[in-house]
Amino acid sequence: MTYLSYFKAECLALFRTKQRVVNALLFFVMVVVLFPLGIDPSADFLSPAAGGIIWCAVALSVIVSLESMFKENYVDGVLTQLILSGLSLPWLMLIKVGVYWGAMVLPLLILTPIFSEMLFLPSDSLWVLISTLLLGSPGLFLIGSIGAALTVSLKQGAMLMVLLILPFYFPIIIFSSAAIKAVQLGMPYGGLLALIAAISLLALVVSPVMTSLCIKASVR
Amino acid sequence: MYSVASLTISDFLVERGESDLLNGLSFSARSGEIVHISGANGAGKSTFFKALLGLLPLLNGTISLNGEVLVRPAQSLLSKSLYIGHGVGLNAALTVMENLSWYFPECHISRFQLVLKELSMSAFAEAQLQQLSAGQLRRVALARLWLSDKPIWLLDEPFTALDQTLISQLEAKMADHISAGGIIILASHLPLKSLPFQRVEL
Repeated sequence: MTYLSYFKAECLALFRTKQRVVNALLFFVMVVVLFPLGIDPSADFLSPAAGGIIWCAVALSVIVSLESMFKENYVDGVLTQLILSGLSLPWLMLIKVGVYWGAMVLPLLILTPIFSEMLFLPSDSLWVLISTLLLGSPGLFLIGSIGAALTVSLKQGAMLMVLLILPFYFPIIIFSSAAIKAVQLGMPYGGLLALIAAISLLALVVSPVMTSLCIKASVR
Repeated sequence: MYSVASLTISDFLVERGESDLLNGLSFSARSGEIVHISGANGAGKSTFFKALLGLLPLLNGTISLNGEVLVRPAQSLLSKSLYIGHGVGLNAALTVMENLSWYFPECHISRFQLVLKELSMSAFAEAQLQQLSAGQLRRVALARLWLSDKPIWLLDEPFTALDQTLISQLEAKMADHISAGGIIILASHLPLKSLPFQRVEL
């Protein structure tokens, strides 16, 4: 086993189980569509709220896509073999999270302009929204993978995972929607983007190590 | 010939739930030997492998490889050993061939085909694992024994779900391995039919 062969295997496996990613994307679409229907479809309400709506939907769909990330590998004994492979487990976990991130974020970036148009997001804010997505979504996936690894051995772990990781999503969601609001008000938003990037970078350092510790504690 | 001369386990003690398992298990395996661990269900056969590999903490006990005491988690043991446990360790979303090339990226595809032919699995090379039976899954998992060059084999119930033909094939493969100087530690309820082994009762 090498890092490259693991990367290839993960890409192939995710491609074969693409229904999981499609489900998460459909979930994203549903949340975004239901908001205007449920509250107020007018541009006055939607235009300032669009960034927040899209970010909440993104956070929820990331949780949906990550929930069973390690489940099958755990049951099949793949995680045991990964621990025993002699390769560094944090790197393997980073590869896996990276593959999931890539598979989710590309379709999200394609969907976002369509839905921001639907939510009357001004076009000058769209680029800020896309920047926050690019900078913040790695953080969502990295933090989420810790929760998924921590609850992998539990039968009903999904709810616990949501409760554990959602508080850590708050800063990313708050700073992202604040950045979009700031650009709509004509205020500087660079600092907010920097904060989002800082959270993702911190998660990049901490998450693979924490994830592999949780995996090692679960595989017994 | 393999470079491992001996693997010695002494005074193993593992805590599992409320009870202590393995009660000071000690044995030594030299190059070319098979250690057969037997014991009732729940005696700690699987626990032993997990403790040896560092998946479970040891309350007490030492592992020495070639006379050198290892500090856990023992990378030098992991890099020399191949463990096949109850979980098949295969990715269910991939085909048989893809799983093998994930484990052994350095091997050529013709090598996989040879091994699969030997295990009478050629027809299933491109089948997804979901379509295979329990015994066929075990065969794919055991194919790693044919492809690997690790000197120490750690096999937890390797005969589960295998038919008679494959059991004798596996024993023949084990015979090859020990005659090449490898070490095999296996846990099983069945005694080996055709091979000499050192018996360890839990």
